[in-house]
Amino acid sequence: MIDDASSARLDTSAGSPLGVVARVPAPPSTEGALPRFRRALGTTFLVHVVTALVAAVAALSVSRALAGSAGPHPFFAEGFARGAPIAPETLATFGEHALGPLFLGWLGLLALQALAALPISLLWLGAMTGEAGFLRRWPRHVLRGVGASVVLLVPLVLVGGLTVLLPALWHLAFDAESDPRVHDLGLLAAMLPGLAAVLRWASWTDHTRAAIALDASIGASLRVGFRAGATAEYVLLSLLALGLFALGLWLSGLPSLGLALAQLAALARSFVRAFWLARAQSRVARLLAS
Amino acid sequence: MPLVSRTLLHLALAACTTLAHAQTLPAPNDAPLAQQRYVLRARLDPRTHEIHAEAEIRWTNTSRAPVSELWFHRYLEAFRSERTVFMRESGRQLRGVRFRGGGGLDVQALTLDDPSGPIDLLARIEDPADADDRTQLRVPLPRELSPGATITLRVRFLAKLPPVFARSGYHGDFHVAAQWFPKLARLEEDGTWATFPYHGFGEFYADFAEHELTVDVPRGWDVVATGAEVERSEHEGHVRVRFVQDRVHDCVFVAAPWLRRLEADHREGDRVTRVHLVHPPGYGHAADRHLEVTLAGLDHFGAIYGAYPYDDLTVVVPPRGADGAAGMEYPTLFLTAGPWLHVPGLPIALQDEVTAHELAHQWFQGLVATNEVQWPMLDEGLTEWATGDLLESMHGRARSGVDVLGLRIDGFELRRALALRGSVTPAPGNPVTAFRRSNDYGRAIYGRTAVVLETLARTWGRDRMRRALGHYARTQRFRHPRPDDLFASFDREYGAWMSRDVLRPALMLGGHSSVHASAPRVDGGRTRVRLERRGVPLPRRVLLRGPDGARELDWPMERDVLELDEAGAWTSVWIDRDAHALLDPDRRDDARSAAPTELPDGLFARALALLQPLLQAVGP
Repeated sequence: MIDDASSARLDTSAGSPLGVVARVPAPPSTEGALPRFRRALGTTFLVHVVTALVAAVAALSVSRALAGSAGPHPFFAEGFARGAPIAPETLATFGEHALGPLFLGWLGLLALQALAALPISLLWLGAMTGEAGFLRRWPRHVLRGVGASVVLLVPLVLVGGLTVLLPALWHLAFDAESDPRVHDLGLLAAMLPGLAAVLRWASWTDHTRAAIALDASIGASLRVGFRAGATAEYVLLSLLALGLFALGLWLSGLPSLGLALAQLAALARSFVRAFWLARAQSRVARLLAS
Repeated sequence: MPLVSRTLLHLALAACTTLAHAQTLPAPNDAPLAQQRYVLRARLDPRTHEIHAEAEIRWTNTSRAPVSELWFHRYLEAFRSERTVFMRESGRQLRGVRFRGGGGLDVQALTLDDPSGPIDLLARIEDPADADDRTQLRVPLPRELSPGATITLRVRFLAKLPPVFARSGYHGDFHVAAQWFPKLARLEEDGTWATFPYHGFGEFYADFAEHELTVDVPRGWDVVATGAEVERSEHEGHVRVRFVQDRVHDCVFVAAPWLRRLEADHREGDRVTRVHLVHPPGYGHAADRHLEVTLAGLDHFGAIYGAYPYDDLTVVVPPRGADGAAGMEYPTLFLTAGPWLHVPGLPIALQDEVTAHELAHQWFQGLVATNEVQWPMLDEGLTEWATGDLLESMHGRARSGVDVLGLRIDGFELRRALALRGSVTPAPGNPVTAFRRSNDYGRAIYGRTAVVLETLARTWGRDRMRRALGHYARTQRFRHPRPDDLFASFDREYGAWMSRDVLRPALMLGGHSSVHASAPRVDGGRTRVRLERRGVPLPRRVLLRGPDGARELDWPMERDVLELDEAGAWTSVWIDRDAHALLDPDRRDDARSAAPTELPDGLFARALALLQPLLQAVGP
């Protein structure tokens, strides 16, 4: 059995005019999410470690800048622990000297991470396919991913517009209402359709990338990606990740082992993301095969 | 908060403060006053936002000198144009709210009762010295008025409210009538008038008077005002409400068709005060919290500064959009501020501070009626410290400011950061005219005054601080004291050095108190450290630490330089570790050590826990 999707297979159907070998893509494997998830455990860990290292460099810069802003005061740490008696000076100096470059550096880092997101996610998704040649096909997938992203920009602008427009209209209509709850709660409700559309778009994007990693064309990937849906599952797993974020934040404040426990929560968040990608890939594989 | 918890909180606060102070403080001044009297009749036209009104003013010359003229304040004239003193000083904005349009106060008739018949004073009114500012009205009298003599004046006037700005005006149906009637300036004992235009940063100074106010509002509307509501009736499509209050120096009313009410009684001994909290629809949850803070504050302030003496206190929660009227104090009535939703557990000061502050004004300016233009620190400054003191009592030092993600800064540290960091401001003892920018005014008057008083509280004990300020508030109740009266109360508690060495340098001259520690030099089993202090001589505690332990020393206020030569190896020194002296503008040089600066435990972990998810969110 030839299981490499890029390999040729014999087309022996009666309709073959020459009865000779033709190269057609193999249908993707329709296996479930768990084998894909397990297959990519190493890649998931690697992606997590790289992200954590980059974040650690940024966090260390912030921490050192804060400590540096405390000037010659040797008991900065104790001061914070005792209710921050030198915090106003520290924060003021931090704002004067360190905050600007750090903020710009952090913005640059986020931009780099955003640019790297597509190739890394296609590598991650490729590792889930279990196909030996996924690294060889990766550059092609990245190009397709860029193409799909350009197409996905159009609906993103639409759903983004919806997210802004509905609350703005509500605000204009009910700003003068004497009961502020009508305005505020209505404004929150008006955000929901846009938010739902954004989540649907995010799920679509992940499914499209999952399909591209299975070597589907841009058009096919966008089509099956849209058909895959699963917004509710996306929301649930996002909420789980959010819960892990809150847990990590709380754990990070513990006096001992806080850092290690918070990192465990962060690692768990990466594996939740991996599980979602595996589910997405399994879903689009079935759709491509059908 | 459940009723039981609220009651326990009040009892605990009252017990602590009462036990600590009541026995050593004098009873509040309750001497009879030579009462002035205003009888005001007003009809609000909500369509035009105008108040058609009449006033009958009975006024007595309480000075030692004959009086030949009267000075009125008609402060709504500050909103007549963009060229008034108020507008020039404030830059046509206050607390971020822009001036949007005109108001004014037209005096249509002014007569003096006389046995021979009313004497028209309107024609006698002289043009103001500043052609652009008509907030003061000088009225020569037909004959001198000897000390102790009483006259009756009758005024008809039209007050036009602006879109709400600088405490007065309307927002939709919500109307705040403040500074809305011609009010006599205060005549000092020597016969001079303490009169001034409506300034951007200060407005209050008037005699205590009996006020009787009758307001007509459209049917279906409600109105609250200074004093006790004594009568309510309906007349030809109007609701007419009458309020009476003696011994107050101002009178305001608030009207709207949708006011919701929350009532509670506050008891202090035999005295019962009815608290009326009015709020827009939807604010019920937040109103509960404002009421809790008000009741707790009445306990706290009453125990220290003397019981609130009036039968009624009205708290108004303004609607969203009426920010120009929010956070403003008047006798027996104040406007607070805040969102409709109270969220328990948020940094407390943000939600409770305005109510606590405006309530504290009932004592500092309401009952102790200082000249706000001349000595704003006696008004806003003392109030700001009392606010922080209440919040610290209610929530503890750490929760009185910021407590977010492991960063805890108490409320007075925030005030210190506001007051002492950045450019130099005029000292708090200056009049409002010394301040050009509202930011400088806030930093000096609110921030620095509070920081100075809190430094006293932390250095020499909070109970002594409360006793000193409590003595001032009780003895000066229903009076018009000056800074010297405040200093006298403090000297009585601490000694004559307090005002001479600490309060006057810190408040009247704006002095700091900074310290500097040299690096410890360990040599031959002894450690030498040089400590220097500049500015206000505050005593400090000095902490020495070394491999074998720690020890604390006293640094007395008499010595500006302290050369320590101690037995033992002390590798680090830290002056005022507990941050009692808030007058130090920069604490970064008040500790030295041979060891390098440590990173706080958990700071890196916190930063990583915050930054990592952001990277993951934009990542693959």
